[in-house]
Amino acid sequence: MANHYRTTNLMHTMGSDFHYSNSRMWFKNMDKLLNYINSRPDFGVKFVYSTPKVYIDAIQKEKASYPVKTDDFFPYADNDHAFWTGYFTSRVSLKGFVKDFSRFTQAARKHISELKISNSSNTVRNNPKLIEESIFEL
Amino acid sequence: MALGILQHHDAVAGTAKQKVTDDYFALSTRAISKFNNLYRDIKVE
Repeated sequence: MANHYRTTNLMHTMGSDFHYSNSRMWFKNMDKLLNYINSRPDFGVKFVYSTPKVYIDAIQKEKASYPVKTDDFFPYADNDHAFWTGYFTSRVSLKGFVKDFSRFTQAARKHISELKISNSSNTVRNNPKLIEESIFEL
Repeated sequence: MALGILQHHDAVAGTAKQKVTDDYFALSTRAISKFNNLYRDIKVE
């Protein structure tokens, strides 16, 4: 892995979809993996729990230089001949609806907030629970 | 909440089965209706 990077500090992200519902189980197993790897100097790596800030600070200290990337990452492919292009066009009406719904929700939240701050609406003042529920469900 | 679910990468991607997609729309339109009922009262004030 180190051969593919410009620094000696490498990021190895942990977790995936649905992996953070039980931290006790998750870290018990991560601890086992880290302790085992760190107990084997012949592997030539040291693992530590880290954060984006700690990682960035560490690689900045190494003063590596990077090429400028100008093209983008799409269409994404995770294997030869395996492009993830279907999701760009699958169910376009749903995608359009998400955008409309998002604008609607933003406008609704802003307007209700303003009415709350100015205390100018009887409906808003007299139905705090209903207001909260209705905004939450959006 | 409905919008948050809709924006999940397995929802907005549009790759779910029809009945799951139907449920996304049902959940969202229910939320919009509920808000609109309330908003109608605010508008007439």
